[in-house]
Formats: sequence, C-alpha cells, structure tokens
Amino acid sequence: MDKIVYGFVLCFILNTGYGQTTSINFTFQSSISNEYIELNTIYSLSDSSKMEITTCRFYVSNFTFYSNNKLVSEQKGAFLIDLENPESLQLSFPISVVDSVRFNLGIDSSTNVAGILDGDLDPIKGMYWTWNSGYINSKVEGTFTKTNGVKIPFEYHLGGYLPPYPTLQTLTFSCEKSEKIVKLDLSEFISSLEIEKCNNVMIPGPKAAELSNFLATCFKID
Amino acid sequence: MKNRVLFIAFYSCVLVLISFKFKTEPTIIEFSVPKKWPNPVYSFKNNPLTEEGFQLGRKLFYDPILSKDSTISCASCHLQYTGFTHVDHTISHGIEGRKGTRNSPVLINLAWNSSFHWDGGVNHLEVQGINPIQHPAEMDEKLENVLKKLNASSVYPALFNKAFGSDKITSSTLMKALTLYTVSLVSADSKYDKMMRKEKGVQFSEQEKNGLKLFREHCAVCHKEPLFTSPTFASNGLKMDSLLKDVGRYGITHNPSDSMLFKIPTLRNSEFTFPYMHDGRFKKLKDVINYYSDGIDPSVSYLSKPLKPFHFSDTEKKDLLSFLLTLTDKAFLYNPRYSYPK
Repeated sequence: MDKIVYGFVLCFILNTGYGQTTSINFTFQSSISNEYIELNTIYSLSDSSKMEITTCRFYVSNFTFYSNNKLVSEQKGAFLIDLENPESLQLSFPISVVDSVRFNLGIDSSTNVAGILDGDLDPIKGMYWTWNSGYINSKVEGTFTKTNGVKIPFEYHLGGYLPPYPTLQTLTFSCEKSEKIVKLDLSEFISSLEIEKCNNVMIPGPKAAELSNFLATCFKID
Repeated sequence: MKNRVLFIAFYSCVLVLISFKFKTEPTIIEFSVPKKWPNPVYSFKNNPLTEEGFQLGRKLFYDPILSKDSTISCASCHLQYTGFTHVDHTISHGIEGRKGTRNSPVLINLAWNSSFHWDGGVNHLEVQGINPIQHPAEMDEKLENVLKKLNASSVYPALFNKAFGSDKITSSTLMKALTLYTVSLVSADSKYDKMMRKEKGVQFSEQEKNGLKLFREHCAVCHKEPLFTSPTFASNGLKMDSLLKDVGRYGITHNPSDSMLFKIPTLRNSEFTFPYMHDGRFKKLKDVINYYSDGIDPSVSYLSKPLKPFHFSDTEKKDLLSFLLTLTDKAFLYNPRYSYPK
C-alpha cells in the first residue's frame, strides 16, 4: 500500500514539475468508498459488508482532445491499466491544456479483428479470448463478504465487440487542467450488482454489455 | 608493407561495420491468386509473405516444441497427405491422448477464410494458432512458455531475425510466422481446376460431368465454386451427439437461431480428408452422399433451407462421388514445399 501511495505522490510531483503546458497527464486510481485500494486487501463497506479485489484491469484507448468543440489532437493506441502494475496507472500525452477529453473504455471493433498485435494488446497479457476472438475490455475479480459472513467470489470478464452486444464504452470528461485523476469507484460497481444472482461473466453477451455500460458510469475525473 | 597492413585492417573494419549496418532483408515472394478466384481475405499488409517467414512457419508447424510436453506438433493433427487433417480420427487427440470434441478441420485455402473453427469463433488467421497451443485437450501449453522455449533455443532466434529482423521472439512474430506457412497452403490444381482452365488433354468423363451437374443443382448453394465452401454457417440436420453436446455456432453468438449451425467445410481433397462432419461421424464419402440422399430428417427444426432429402438414384450417387474425386489435388497433397522440413 505504501509503495503505491509513494508511487502516486512521486509521479504527481514529477508530472507537475514539467508537464503543465506541454502535456496532459492522467493518473488512474481505483477506490472503495473513497479509499484508494490495494489488491488482495479486505475493505469494509458502509453497511459493514466487506470486499476484496484481486484483479482490476481495463483497457483505455483512442484518446481525443477538444477545444471549443473542435478536435485538437487524436492519440491512437490502447493502454492496459492494471492495478497490479503501478507504471501502467500513469498516462501522459504531449499536448497543451484543452476543454475536454474523450476516450474509449475498451478496444474498438477494428482492433478486435486486426489479427495478432503487440505491446499492451499482446494476447499474453491475459486480456484476450482466443476461442471467441476478441479483447476482454475489463476484468474485475475478488470476493464480496455479506453482512452475515457469507463469502461470494466474483469474476467479471467484460468484452465482446459484435452487435448486438458490443461492450465498448466512450467516456467524456472536462479537461481544463494538465493533471487529471481518473477514478474508478469499485464499491459503486460491485454493490449495485446483484452479486448473488450473477457472480461471474466470462463470455460476450447481454450481461457483459449491461455490466460494461454500468462500469463506465463508475468512472469520475478530478 | 606497413601501409598495406593498415589498408587491409581498415578495409576489414569497414566490411565488419557494413555487415552490422545492413542486415539482409528477407526475400519477398508473391502470393499467387489462381485465375478467376476471388481476392484472398487475408491481408499481407502487416505480414508480408517472405521466403524466410514461410520456411520459419513451416519449421514451427512441424516442431513439437509448441506443445507442453514436446510430444505433438501442428502436423500431428494436420497431416499434409490427408489435406492437413487428422485422418481416420473422428475426433483428434492432444498430449497424453486427451480427446477434444471436434474433428480436426482441413487446412486448405485458408487465405480465403473469414473465420476459423467449426463454430467460426476465431476471426483472424493470425490468432487461430493460439487455440491449439493453449487448449488443454490439444497442446496444453501457455503462449508465454512457448515464447520462453523458443527464445532459449539455439536455432530459433537467428531464424526469427532473418524473417522479422529481430532475435526477440514475441507472440506477434510467432503467430505471423505460423500464418505465413498456413496461408500458403493453396490447393488449386485438381482435375476440376484443370478442366475449368481448359487445359489440354483434360476431359471429364460422362459420370464426372453428370456429377458436376448434380453438384451444382444440389450442393453448390453452400459449397460454392471455386473454393467449395461459403463464409456462412449452416445445419445439414445432423442431430446432436449425446456425449459431445456440441451446439455449434450458438456457443459463440448465443443467438438461438445459430443453434446447431456449423461452418461449411471446403470439399477440396475430400477423397482424403475422412472422416467427415464436425464430429467425424461419417467414415466414407459414400456415407455422406447417402446421408444427403436419404438420411436428412426434414422435421429437424434447425435444418438450413433449402436442404431436404435429395433422394439420389444409385447412378446419381456414383456420378456425384466421381465428381467429388475430381477435387483431389495430388500436387498439393504431395507438394514437397509443404512437407516436413529436412
């Protein structure tokens, strides 16, 4: 936990040092009830139920920046944000301050049919379905412990690019300063699910589409 | 004398530097599309066809290093002489004799395929090969481990360097190399092809001519010339195997109308690709023709239109069979360029 916090602080200092006018920097954070989270740690929720996250990874891609409703810059490419890998939580784009930013949560359909790809899109990253070709746009895994002590493990692998159940989401945020913190509130995501009825999603389909849509609403930007 | 030594020393240094600076470029080879065939689906834009890449893919295809216990290679279930399928096995087996659930498909004219596997779940040739490598009933190996083994090998890094300009073997270069081999498996030199090209001295017998006529009337709706397949999914009314419980395309789309639909296989070289169907339930071509003639149950709800029992006469069955045999391409099945690299 300490390492991650120091990492954040360090990155923040470094970023503010030189990036104010020439770059826009995003720091991705995940939280449970306003508390930054660390993997494999049990957190209490407001109703005294408990939650532990063991995996939290998602793709963000194709950043576009706007000023006065006009496209200023388009930064192609996909980035795997992985809570296990602190380096992945920082993204920096070499442009000046704009009004708003838009990016995808997930991988677009043309990339999904492009064959074998490198870097963050390499299938060995564990975010690719081989038997039903396509990227897993986001993965959230962990355990939810109800107030009566019953433990429910959950695994949500959300992906699929084909209609009628595409899972790609687009997020738009104001972006008037160069340091932005993108927050994913996992307690909001998990506690709103009917976790007892559906504690795992492993395939593209209506459930993956519904949960992807919902996960997108759990992102906020500061 | 001293000058000469200096000159030679200098010259040698220059040569060494030049050889470091200019790596030999791989040799581009042309992917030739047979006359009157459609353009291939596979695009070579991000993976140019080169001799070095092809030969590397070929070596990998025949190398059991891809499997967990180094016992099976791609060729174990995709033998050239039988149209790159597993002859005489209804369902193929992987390492330790583990059994899968489907008949291994042929690898013929893959450049024109828009999807792969009997359920069409794989959308690109380059990512297809990850499936047999990682499937527990096939090679049961992790892609990461294959990369580790290849990177540690004494021969592969140099071969990848020749083909892709880097010693470091990645998922991308591995899958691209395999693709350059499998995409090159083109069969277009059967008696049928020669007939269509009006080659001198090639004639269809009366039986074969009648067979072609019958084929065009009843079968070509799905098995379209010249590839003898079409990029859709269909059901010929086969009932579900009670043990395998394979739902076909539905397993991918979860759309009820895709239940029990399977990919339409090419009929090229079908003389040698037995057994037939996704579960290999028919041993002989004769059995397949008999099924289409009298075995289809028209009350099956998922039967694709306009299929129905065709009720061929005995003569018609023989004609159809003799036409199917004209799709055998010995030049393909015995092409030394595709065989085990010596």
